[in-house]
Amino acid sequence: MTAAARRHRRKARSRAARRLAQRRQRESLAALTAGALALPGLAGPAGAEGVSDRIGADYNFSRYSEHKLPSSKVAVGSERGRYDIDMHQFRFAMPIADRFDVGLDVVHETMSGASPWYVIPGDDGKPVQVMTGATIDDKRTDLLLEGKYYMDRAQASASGGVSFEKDYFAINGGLGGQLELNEKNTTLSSGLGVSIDSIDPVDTAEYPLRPDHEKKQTYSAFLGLSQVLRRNAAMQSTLTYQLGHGYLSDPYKQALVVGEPLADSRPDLRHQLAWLSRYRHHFSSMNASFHADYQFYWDDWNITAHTFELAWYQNLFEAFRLIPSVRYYSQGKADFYAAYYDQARADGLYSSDYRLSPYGAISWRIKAETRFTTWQLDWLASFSWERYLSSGSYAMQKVSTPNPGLVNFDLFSVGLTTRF
Amino acid sequence: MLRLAASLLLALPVLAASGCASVKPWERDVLARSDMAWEPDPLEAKRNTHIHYSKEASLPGGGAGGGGCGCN
Amino acid sequence: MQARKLGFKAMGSPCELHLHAESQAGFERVAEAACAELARLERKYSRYLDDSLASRINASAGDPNGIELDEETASLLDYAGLAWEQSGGLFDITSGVLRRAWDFRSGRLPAPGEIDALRPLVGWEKIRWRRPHLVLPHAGMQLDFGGYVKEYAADRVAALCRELGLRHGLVDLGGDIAAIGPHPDGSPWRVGIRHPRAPDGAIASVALSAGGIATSGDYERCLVVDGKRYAHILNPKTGWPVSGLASVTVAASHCLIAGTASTIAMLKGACGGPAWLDRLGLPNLRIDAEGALSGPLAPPLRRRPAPPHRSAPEAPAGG
Repeated sequence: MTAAARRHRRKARSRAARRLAQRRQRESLAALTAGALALPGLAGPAGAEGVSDRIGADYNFSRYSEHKLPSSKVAVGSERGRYDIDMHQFRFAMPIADRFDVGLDVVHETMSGASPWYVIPGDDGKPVQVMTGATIDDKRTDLLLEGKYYMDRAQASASGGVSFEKDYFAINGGLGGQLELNEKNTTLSSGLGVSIDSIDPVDTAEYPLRPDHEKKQTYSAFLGLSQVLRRNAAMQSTLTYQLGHGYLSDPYKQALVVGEPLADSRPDLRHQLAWLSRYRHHFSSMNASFHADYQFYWDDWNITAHTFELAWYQNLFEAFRLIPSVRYYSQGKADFYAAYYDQARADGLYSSDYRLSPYGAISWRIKAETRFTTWQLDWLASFSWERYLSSGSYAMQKVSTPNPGLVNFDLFSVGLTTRF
Repeated sequence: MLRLAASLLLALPVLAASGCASVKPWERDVLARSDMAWEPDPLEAKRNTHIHYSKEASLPGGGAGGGGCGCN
Repeated sequence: MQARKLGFKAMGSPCELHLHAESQAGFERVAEAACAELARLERKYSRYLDDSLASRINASAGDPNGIELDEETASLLDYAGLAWEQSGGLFDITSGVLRRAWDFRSGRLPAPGEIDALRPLVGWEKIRWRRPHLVLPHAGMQLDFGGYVKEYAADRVAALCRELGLRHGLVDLGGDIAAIGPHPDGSPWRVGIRHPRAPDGAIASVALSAGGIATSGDYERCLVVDGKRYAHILNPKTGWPVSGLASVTVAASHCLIAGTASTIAMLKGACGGPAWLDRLGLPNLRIDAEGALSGPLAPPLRRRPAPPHRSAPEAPAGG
């Protein structure tokens, strides 16, 4: 070996040793950082709330598919596939000033399939569903722009949006506020919303029962209170009131009244109240969080409903999260609802829509999330599957005649989120 | 059933106001976790709200906002 | 929004809080919370207060049953253990007991044998620490949180201000500095680095908008005997003050990490310290015994201020 080659090898060895030492050193910085982050309060600029200094972009694709109704529940000749919806959701949020950020939400859906039309008595006396004749194909695009202003102990937000469909147009706006009290242990929030909708049903020539043009307005208001209970537990209670006014019927549905199909016809006023309470608890020994939500609902069509939802957020190996959840829902029927009517009603109100019928629903969901860093960006990818089953027998109360059109569906969803 | 629900609801704010020690701002590390958020995944929350709202009679609680739809 | 400043004394140092707050009332509310937090940490970790947790820990030395520690203290001990490991045993919070031999106010060197007598009481490896249970096995052993609790306090106060809704400000606890956030226009704070031989003058300035900066130097407390400086930073392995570097300034994601890194660099001395810092990958500034600046944060040569005159007053012993 020449002297030059020896020198070269020596140099290469010392370079390698330097690199190794450097790597060890980086590890010791990582160790110190981990130790510092374990100290109370030092884990990053703690503030889930507050204006984010990063631009966020989220995308989510979901496929919603309703199960085909069993042939025992469908009138002969209308056994068509039910609704499928493909849904693309985008969200883009960025700070535009010191205390101000804006977010844009875009939703685009394409729907196709048949939907329940009206209900007739079956051979054995049990009601059966008649589905719409043609497959409905539609698209919906929804845009929502929201601005938020952050003060030291308060937040204010304003939003405006539109939603387009071939036969439907809605424009909506909202105002919201949030106030931190009691060293941020208590948060008061409230908001107002309005939506002005116009409905222009298709194919009115073939279906003379459908109206040509209708309108409705919805006004809502909510008041919420969040309270930190302990270092690892918090709860929130929100009361929401909504007033619906105008055409609140479904133009594509009918009801069978003394053997004759009539247009779905509901009151033109509806007062709705929902009281949602949520509880969050973190178990550090298991590196998991528990979510429990309960909602009580009442409206002046005399529907009461209860929703229970439980979720477990299990964190695994630093970057993974597994989230199983279950939901139970039960509702009573609207005053004027019937599967079909043997007698005409004095008030002229008729609806056989399963949404106004008494039933219960059980759904479960499993979701997996993983975090990773690529191209110097932080990413969060998720996958979830939900199955929703509804039935008269799942209701809290006894249901003698369940609506045959009750829906079961699967929902698959994939999402990708990044911050830069 | 109704009475049970009503008494539960009335109990909540009372619980919230009493049984809680004040958690200091520097003790917020756990509460600031993403899995402790009221809605950890806003897109998912929006989607589920929309689907349940269009298939059930009930109203999505949690706050106002969002547009109507001609959902069948 | 206006920059408001509060000066006060805490943890034995002059402190300053610079906050951009919307109102004087808002500023005072945050400043009050910050002072309360500092007072809490001082009451808990000062070894000069008889009823502090630090004093109770030290009083437990020699008791085989030891003492049970709270979450915060446990995490501080875990951190000290990590720093001890990563520094090869140089960063050692048991070394405070050596001050019994080194009285920096006395103007005299330890008597022969004094240090050797204390050495059995020094060494992180001698304590038994199983979270949350701590045993100091030998009577006379001590833990000294003073070497890093002020840096931790700076981080805590910065985090507290952020929690209270402030996003633009700086916490300066006697040179241990943590940024709450940059100025409202996004520009960084300019932090002056003191010259070790002329503590009132800045020798360099460092831009800081997040994280923290800390400086270790031999000017804070030292002993001059026969013209030789003995700094207050003691090597736990020899029991003697370190020499070689006059001061080290480090910037990091947290003031605590910056402080630990600068202390370790001082302990490693003129030969090992600078190279160790560079490998660590943290921005830093070293000043050696001759007053020469080096390191990534050192200003370019032509912009450096003239070195202070040789006859500039030395920091008084015990100052």
